Amino acid sequence: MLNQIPLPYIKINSRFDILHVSDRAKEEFPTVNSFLDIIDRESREKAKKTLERRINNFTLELNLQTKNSPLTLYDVYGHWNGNGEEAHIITVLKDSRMEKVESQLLTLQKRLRNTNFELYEKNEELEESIARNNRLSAPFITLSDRVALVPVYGDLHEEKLLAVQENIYDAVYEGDYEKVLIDFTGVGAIEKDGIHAIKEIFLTLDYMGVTVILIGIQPHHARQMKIYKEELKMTCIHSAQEAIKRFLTGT
Amino acid sequence: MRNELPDFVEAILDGDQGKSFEIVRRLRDKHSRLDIYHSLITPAMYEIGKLWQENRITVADEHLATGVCDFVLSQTEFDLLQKPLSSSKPKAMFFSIEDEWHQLGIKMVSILFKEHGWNVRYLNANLPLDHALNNAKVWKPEVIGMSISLAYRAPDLPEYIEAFNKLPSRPTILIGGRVMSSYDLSSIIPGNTMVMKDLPELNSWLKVKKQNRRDGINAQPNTSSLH
Repeated sequence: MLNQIPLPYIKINSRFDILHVSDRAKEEFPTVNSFLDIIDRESREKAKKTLERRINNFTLELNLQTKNSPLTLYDVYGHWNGNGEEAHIITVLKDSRMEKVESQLLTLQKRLRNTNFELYEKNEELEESIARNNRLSAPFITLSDRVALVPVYGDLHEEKLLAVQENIYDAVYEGDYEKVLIDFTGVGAIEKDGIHAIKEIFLTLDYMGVTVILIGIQPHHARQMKIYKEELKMTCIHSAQEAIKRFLTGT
Repeated sequence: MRNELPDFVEAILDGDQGKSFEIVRRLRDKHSRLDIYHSLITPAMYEIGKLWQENRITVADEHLATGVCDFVLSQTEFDLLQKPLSSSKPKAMFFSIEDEWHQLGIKMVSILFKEHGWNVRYLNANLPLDHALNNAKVWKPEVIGMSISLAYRAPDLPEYIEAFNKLPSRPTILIGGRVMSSYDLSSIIPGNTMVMKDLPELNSWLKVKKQNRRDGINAQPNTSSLH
């Protein structure tokens, strides 16, 4: 009757030699003499320790070698008879559905984490491209040995002006310019911290001995910059065309 | 760090990501990544293995603890990701061999490489040879690191090593994992492949490598050995 039970059943003696195996056990495990031989070597110590204690009833989680795989996780239930001479053992394969859910959860967790990092990396890229964009928002164009034109594009905020000022200072330092025309035609809004940064650029260029001339100032720019008008001795010319006519002819 | 170990083990077994990370975060103020990996995370995972041996926890508990550790490791990696990748950095690729799901060790290794300024590709655990080989052919890493912690997988190792040795880019091959410290596998490992016994050994190797790079000595790939 024991041969027909629908789970692998193994009977062992006190030296753990196999005395009897059920049909199901024959199907699942290789034919060996000792029960220890179907236990994975890294589970063997664990199994021995419990088996040697001859506890009446025991439950163990063990990796067993099956016919199909060198390592499969089982719950092993055992019962030693009264004098500890024989044990009845039933092995139950760990529910693989559990394992599936578990691995799916881990995959999901990993996915979430990677998404986090990917977002972070995208953000990095974006910031890099904004910085690059900022640096390119005010090209320094030499019109003659003495005059240069700097058309500024986009909304002006401190960060952008910090990015462009270096460019302008380097060019002015290397050249021998008298006048730098800064063209505001392409400027949208000027933020509060932007105004301050513009002032800094003006003062620095002034110290470098360059006259700054503003071109294409729109009414709302003029209103914002009014407070610095006296201090900075700003010269404004309505259009680039006029400025170029005035400063380039005769230079 | 011995003081924190029991709390950390308890936290990862409870699946408490917050508490586990908090312990590591506090230690990070005074300790290097290597210290934490070697003196907290590695012993914690060995302790988990011991608890299973003693029949006090199940494999499911082990998996949960591994998942939490994995999360904590990713957090310790985070500030390294804030430096942009550069193509001039040396490249290293890591993976665990097929049917090998133990990945915390190789993950720690890959993070330490990043810390030393390497451009790192960490492929998933359980990678078939074809996949690994394809990746190596296209990306041409200078170092290929593999981990193996299950003894019964060791016989497959030579196949991997042989395949990588044939690559025209002649990568240096590093092998690590629990099995390398508990069994003598020297007979299946050719002389031109390095076996890393533990993380401090790996870290010293990384330091030497960095110094050589700085001094302009390009150690011949595939010939250096620690043994």
